[in-house]
Amino acid sequence: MENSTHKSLYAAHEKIHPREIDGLFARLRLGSMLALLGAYYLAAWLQWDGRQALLFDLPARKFYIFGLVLWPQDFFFLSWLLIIAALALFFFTALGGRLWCGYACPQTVWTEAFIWMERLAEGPRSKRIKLDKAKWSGKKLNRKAIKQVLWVSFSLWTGFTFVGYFTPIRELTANAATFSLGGWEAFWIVFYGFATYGNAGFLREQVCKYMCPYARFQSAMFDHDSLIISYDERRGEPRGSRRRNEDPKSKQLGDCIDCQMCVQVCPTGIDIRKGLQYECIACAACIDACDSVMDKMAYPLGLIKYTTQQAIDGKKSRILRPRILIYGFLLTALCVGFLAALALRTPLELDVIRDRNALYRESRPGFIENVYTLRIINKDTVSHDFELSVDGLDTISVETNSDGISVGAGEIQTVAARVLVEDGIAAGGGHDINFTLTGLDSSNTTTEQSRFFLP
Amino acid sequence: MPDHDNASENEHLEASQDAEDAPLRELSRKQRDIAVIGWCSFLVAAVATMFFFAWIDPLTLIESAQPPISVDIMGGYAIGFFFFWALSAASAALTVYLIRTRRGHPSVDE
Ligand code: SF4
Ligand code: SF4
Repeated sequence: MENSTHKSLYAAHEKIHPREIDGLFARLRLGSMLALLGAYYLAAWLQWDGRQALLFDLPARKFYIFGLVLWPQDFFFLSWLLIIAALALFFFTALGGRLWCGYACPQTVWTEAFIWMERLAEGPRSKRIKLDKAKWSGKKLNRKAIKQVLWVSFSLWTGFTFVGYFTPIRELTANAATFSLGGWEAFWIVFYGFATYGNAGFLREQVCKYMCPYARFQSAMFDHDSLIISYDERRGEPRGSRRRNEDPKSKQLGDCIDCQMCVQVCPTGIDIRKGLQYECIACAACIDACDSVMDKMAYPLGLIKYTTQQAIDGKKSRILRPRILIYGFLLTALCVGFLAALALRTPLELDVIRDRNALYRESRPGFIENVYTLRIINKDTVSHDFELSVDGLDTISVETNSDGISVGAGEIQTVAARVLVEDGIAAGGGHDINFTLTGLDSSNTTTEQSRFFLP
Repeated sequence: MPDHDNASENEHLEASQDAEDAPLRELSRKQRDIAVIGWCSFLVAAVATMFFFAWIDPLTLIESAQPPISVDIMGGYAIGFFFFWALSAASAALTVYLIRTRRGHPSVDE
């Protein structure tokens, strides 16, 4: 790597076999990983009101989120959520650095799961490295085959679950069991499974190093008070090996015994002692590793630790600072607004389409008639009855073919409406009128404007 | 426990060996470029597909296709997604190509 840029561009890259490590942060990471994986694989199976609780029903173009049913018309909520998510990422990055990368990013979570399976099939780090170097033999083939079987099944299960969020997962299971999956379903399961395998089994840390936009953006979100993982250079240097009960001062050494543990556990293969690098996903594995060494050496813990640039420079770090306050305020405002909008959302939609064939006609002597098509969408989860009325002109009235309007849960109903006005009550041309749909058994009410033409 | 010293020394030894003898996995710059192009355009295509089909029902597009095509709604989504993916991948690939072949760029001067 060192000799020239030319070389580094094509540098052969070692497969990284992170050494397994136990410790506080390893446990935190494991906990968060299990929670997230569990949520992903299990949430698809939750039921609500006799249907799948989380279902993005693409054929019917409806999103079910527990008690909530979102329609394409509610896309606004989704965009709003995306804005909240982006802002939250800014907020938490400014505050906690790359907590996302270390504990919650699907890339990290699935990579950890794949490494766990690799360990299961091929043993711990030293064994894996030996195995990779060894010539092909029955034993090697066997180990590698087991790993691939584990990986491929896990990937397919991941793809299956993914598709299960878009096609009811119970039906999907039944179809899969009888080998009668639809073409697209099978395709997307394999596609998503392949993407999982590629990212978590094959590319791994390369995704973070070369492919992830967030990893590059984050320097813009950081400031000197953001949480980072850092090696205490002043305390550690000069590094060097020593016997356990040797006084480092007598050898003019710092606290780093140069055991390379922090490098061996690092999933991105970097040396944290070289300073903050953008490859570092802040997984804290090196903290656990170094702490265990410090413990053995009976040195104080925290040669590598969570800290801030301010603290390294010997200043006090602040949590509340303008950046945090502004992000925090915006985030709260957006969340409150989102919840309020969601609560106030009327699960009812009315579209009024004027009959394009005729502007108006004289239906009965002395009356002018305009014809409209109404599209009523009941987005609620129960059926409702409605009453239709119009206003905006004197003597205006509306007639429909049926008496009451009743729309089933989640249904769209098209209603033909004739609006009548006495001839001569207003000037010729177009006039604004309002259609109002009033819920008879609910407070769902909506008004829609349209035009009425007089001769 | 005097063992400790040995253990950590062994680990040290082992570490330096690993660094030299670990098997190589090569991702050349070209492979990296392809990975970046494929992945970023995938992300963009996913977002574009979401926005596009939130406003437009694939069935209305399929119905008005000339010449008529026989695709179901899931096929419509899939065509849309791969269309966006191809489009953004093409644009990303061109961008990378132009940057890589620009005079003064390290990869040209090499
Ligand atoms: S660098 Fe990107 S891909 Fe890697 S963990 Fe962080 S967010 Fe995820
Ligand atoms: S340097 Fe430490 S925190 Fe950063 S990725 Fe490596 S092990 Fe994780």
